[in-house]
Amino acid sequence: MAEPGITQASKARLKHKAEDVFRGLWASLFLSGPSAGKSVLICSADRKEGASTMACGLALAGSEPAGIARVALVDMNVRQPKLAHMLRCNSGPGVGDVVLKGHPAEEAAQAVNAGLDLYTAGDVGDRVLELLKSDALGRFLHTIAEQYDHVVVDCAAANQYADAQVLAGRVGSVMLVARSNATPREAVALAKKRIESGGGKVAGVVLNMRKYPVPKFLYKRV
Amino acid sequence: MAERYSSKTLRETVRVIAGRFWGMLLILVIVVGGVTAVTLLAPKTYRTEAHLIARPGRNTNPLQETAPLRYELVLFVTTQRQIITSDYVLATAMMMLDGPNLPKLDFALGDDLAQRKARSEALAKASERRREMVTEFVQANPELMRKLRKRVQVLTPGGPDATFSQTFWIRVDWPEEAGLAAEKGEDVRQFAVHRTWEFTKHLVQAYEDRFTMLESQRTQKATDFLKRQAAMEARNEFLEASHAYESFIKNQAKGDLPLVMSMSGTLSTAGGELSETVLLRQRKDDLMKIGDRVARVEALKTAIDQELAKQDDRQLVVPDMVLQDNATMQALQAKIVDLKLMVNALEPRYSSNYSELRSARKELGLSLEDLREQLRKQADALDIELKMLRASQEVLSRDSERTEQRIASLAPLVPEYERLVAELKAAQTNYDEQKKRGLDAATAERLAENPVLVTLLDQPYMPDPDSPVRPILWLNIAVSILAGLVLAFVYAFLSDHFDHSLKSIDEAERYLGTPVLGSVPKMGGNIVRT
Repeated sequence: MAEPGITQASKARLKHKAEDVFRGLWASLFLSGPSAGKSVLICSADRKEGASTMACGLALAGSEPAGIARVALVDMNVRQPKLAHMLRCNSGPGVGDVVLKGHPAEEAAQAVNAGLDLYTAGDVGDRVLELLKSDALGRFLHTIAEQYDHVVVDCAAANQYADAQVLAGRVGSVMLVARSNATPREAVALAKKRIESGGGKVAGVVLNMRKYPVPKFLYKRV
Repeated sequence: MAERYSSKTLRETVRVIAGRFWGMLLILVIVVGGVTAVTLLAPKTYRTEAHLIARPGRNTNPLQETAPLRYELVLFVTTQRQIITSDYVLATAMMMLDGPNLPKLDFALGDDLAQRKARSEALAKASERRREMVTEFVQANPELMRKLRKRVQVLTPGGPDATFSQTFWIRVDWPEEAGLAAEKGEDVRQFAVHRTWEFTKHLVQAYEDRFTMLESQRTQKATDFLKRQAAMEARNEFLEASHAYESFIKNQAKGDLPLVMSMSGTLSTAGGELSETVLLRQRKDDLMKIGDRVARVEALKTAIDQELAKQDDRQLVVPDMVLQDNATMQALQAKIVDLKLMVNALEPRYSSNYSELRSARKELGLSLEDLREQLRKQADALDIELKMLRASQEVLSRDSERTEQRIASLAPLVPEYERLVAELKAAQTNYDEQKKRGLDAATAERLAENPVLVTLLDQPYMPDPDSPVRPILWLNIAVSILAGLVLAFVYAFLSDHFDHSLKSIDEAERYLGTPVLGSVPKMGGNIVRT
């Protein structure tokens, strides 16, 4: 839970050009259709496809303007946590401290802005599997799901680590990020299969870093 | 997996192309640039042509046997192409151009026979020497020959490979030879032009030499055949044989020719026999018959003489041989037998004075006397006959002996005659055959004198040094643009086909069966401002 007194947190905002895009995505993810849910796991098939950026952007878009919703951004990408750096927050304490060391959840919450709290990965070391398997994690996720309107969870690439598979069972709804013109469709299909085998449900796919080679005037006509 | 669509929508096509625009452009530029560069850098060549026309030497009436004429022309032009592009002719022209002194071929033989022979020998020698030199040249310069083969073309109006044409031309494309020109200190272009022109002239000359040589060889064969006078020889042989035959008949056989012919069996008259031989046989038959008759007559005579020698008339017995063919004797004999029987019958019963007996005895005596008389007559007749027979026997045997002698004297002539006849026959056959072959050869010679002729229509012209033959730039560029475009499109669609990345929302939904929530454009840098 964000302390109202933290001032630097309110400074993190989406850049103007990204605002509309992520807001639209947020809307289609949470506010429309049958797949709309409370929390969503964001993962990609392979590394470096922009899953963390996507999670960050979504969370920022969902929490603005201030007061519209309270959003928790959880960095479960414990192998290469990036969100803390991205949002200029401290890297700890985080989820690892809460789950493995028994710190209270409130301690880990860092307010990014008025409606957005960030839970960083924290200190996990090489106890990743333990973290993912532990009941404490379940409890932690359950707690924050109750506390916030929406929970956005970032995690490692689905085809590289089993993290996404395990987490999908706990979070439920999964959004796959694929880098357009780069990720092979077979890789995305494999990620989808793995997530579904872990008990998750793929709510949808997002094509990231999309390029529009066709000029706009032509694109409209064809 | 959702169903897949094989047909690409227009948008996807545009995407495929637009996504690889620069790659495609690069391909196009490389192809067009490459072709243009090659075209521009292609060596300049200078072209000249010599036009030739093939005229059939006979069958100039077009209504007459056009089809054979056509085939002849086809064959002819094809052959000329082979001759012109043969290594021999090319190398000869090249050697003429570069100056090694090739022996000249002089085909004008003249009319004087001796001169003709000498010149033809000289020609054969020169041709042989030339052949040696050219063969050496070809073997020594395989690379040059390869180039020459490319530089010379034989064309016909119907296209490079058409053969049904009366006209054909030799085209020479000669490249600039900068090195050689510099060596001679001449302008590259002028040098190339002159070389082209001169080479073509030499090529025509070499071809004509070669053609004439081949033709004259062909003619030579026919002429040689006639010149050998095989037919004349055969004729002389025949005349000799017939002369020998005639003189044999005149001097040796004389009037006995039919006899000799009949003896050698070469004469086959209707009867198969000749009077002389038949006569001889008849005479021999006659002689034999006469001999028989003489023997018979002599036997008769002996028998009769024996009977006549008997004194007692009653003892007279007519020999059976005499009775056989003498009716008077038979009657007399019969009468005597009757009288004897009568006398014998009367004698025991009556006395000898009985008148009837007496008369019978008397009559018997008379009859017996008569018989003796008859026998004597017969003996005389036989004597005469025997004499006659002997005489005729003598005549006949003399006659046949003479004939036999004649035949025997002619016998040695028979083999001679037969030999002569056989020789005459062989000479006749040979002469006929030679006459026929001579006729064939004469026809061949006439044909050879009148072959399909080649005439040079146009001398090769001097190429223009300012307009070398070069590939057509704009055409090459146009073709290369087309080819480049095709290549670029092939590249675009192929690479798209093998690119399995997710490229569009449609495709992603189609393939994954999951809704695509949206797409995020590529945004450079950080999306968060703090």
